[in-house]
Amino acid sequence: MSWIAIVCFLVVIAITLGITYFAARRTQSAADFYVAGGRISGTQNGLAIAGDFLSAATLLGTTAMIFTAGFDAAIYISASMVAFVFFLFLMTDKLRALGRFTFVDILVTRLEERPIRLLAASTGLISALMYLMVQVVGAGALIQILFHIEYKFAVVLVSFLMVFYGSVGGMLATTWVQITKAILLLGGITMLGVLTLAHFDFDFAQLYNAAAANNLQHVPERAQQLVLPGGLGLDTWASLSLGLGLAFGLLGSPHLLMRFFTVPDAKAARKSAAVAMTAVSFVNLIIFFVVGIATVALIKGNSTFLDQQGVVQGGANMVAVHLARLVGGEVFYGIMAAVAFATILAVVAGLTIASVSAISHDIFASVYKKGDVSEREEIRVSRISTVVLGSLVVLLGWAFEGQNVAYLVSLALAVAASTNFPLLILTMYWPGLTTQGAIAGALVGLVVTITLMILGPAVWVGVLEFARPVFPSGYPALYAMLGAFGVMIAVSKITRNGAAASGAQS
Amino acid sequence: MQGPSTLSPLSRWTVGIVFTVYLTLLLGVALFADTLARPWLGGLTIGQWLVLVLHIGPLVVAWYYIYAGTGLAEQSAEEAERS
Repeated sequence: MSWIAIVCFLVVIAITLGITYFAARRTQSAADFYVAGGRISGTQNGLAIAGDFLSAATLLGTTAMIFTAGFDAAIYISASMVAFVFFLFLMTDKLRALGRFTFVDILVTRLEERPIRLLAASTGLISALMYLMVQVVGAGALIQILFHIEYKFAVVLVSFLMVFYGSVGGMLATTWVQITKAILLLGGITMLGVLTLAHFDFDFAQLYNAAAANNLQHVPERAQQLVLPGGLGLDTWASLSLGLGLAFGLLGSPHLLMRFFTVPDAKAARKSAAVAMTAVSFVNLIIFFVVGIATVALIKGNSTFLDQQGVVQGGANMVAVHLARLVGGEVFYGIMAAVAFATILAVVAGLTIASVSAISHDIFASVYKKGDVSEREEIRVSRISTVVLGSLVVLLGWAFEGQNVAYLVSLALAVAASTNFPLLILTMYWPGLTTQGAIAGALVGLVVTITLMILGPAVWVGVLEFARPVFPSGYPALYAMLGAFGVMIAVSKITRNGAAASGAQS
Repeated sequence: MQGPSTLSPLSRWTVGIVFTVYLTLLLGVALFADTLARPWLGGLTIGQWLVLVLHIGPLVVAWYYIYAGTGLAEQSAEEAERS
């Protein structure tokens, strides 16, 4: 156990708790709690959005993906840029023009309020819950290697902090935690990149040659995978399904969509998207071209970082943190571990707010109470919901121990891509969408995704421990998305024609 | 609510080009991996160049859209409000 690392770690936690405490004192109305009262500036919100994008999956999972699968990690990092382009050019203005607190507000401008609010809040809740589970898996492993405590206890600890951040501070606290974390992450990843390059005398050729040589020594059958695609073994459908699921899943993620309501106007929302895009692009490029390659050169097969079974300590998700220790010493290791943990906590806090708003604002206040509810009561329900969510996340975190967090994110985003995204984009751009079509399509998307996920390798083999999966591909998004879009369009056309025919008869 | 006609030509072209490059990357990983691994300019492979283009191209257009092309962005926002 490194005391310097632990002190750095605790300092970052103390800072974020302090921010949450002060923000909580300024949270008075529901608008404050959900969207920070719309008072966040474009640049601040851009950093907060970048913070949401740069979750455990980016820092820990993508680096681990490069470490194990090489070039194919490009699919994961590039998806975020595609999502930003869609956000900025197709969605930001419409979101601002139509929404108030959540993306569901936009759907109900066109469709029947109660069933749509219930449906979209449920699908948003499921995707956010899965995304929460991913963050907790990453955080659990991080605390495990830093404090040498049981993974299961680490998951409980992270979930407790999640409940605290989510229930006490609201969106204002979450946004400021996200901004602080984004700045820490940008600084930390820049430092890691510089220290790594310094280790190789700022010579890219030396870095890539060392990585290729080390790869050849330890995995000779995949020696070329740093530049030759194929490390993930994807066929055409799996590649498309993974890539489109990631990009469109981000566009349907409630915690990201909510951020566009925290700024005062559309201009600030557009600036947010551009600032976030710049920060995410910078971090992605450093991870893809420097940090990930360096983990292959320096961590793969290095006995210092292997456990007794010859596996990387804490699993492949921890290679970025091990690299920080190797190139920067104990202090930098502590700082990077703390940054990684702050990253996770901040994303978890944002996700918690999004999940809780689905329960308290969309389901409780709008559907159950039909709008007849005081703000105080709504906030109370949201705080109780946070505790329930925290308990669920603990169970899911235990079940998915040891799986790659970037891969788990692809599953969480598959839900959003096949439910929220089709609902949102068709509401915005297809006048023919009917309430019946929206409900039927979203349900098909949800059922297909969950079914294929359970029958696929992550759950059927990884959690339920069967020998081989029923559905061989680990990437269900494309099939579910096609089903959702197809059913939404078909049922909308049928119900619209039916309504027109009965109108003509009468 | 209006259809896609509310989009400016810049928006349509940017979304179209970025999505096409991304699809090329996705299909390339599965179908023409050797081509993506082929060295090209500056010692980088074609695949690495695709990643660079996807990370830098949209940034340039995004900041142009917001500042130099302010009129376009404002027009887009007004049309979204009207729709």
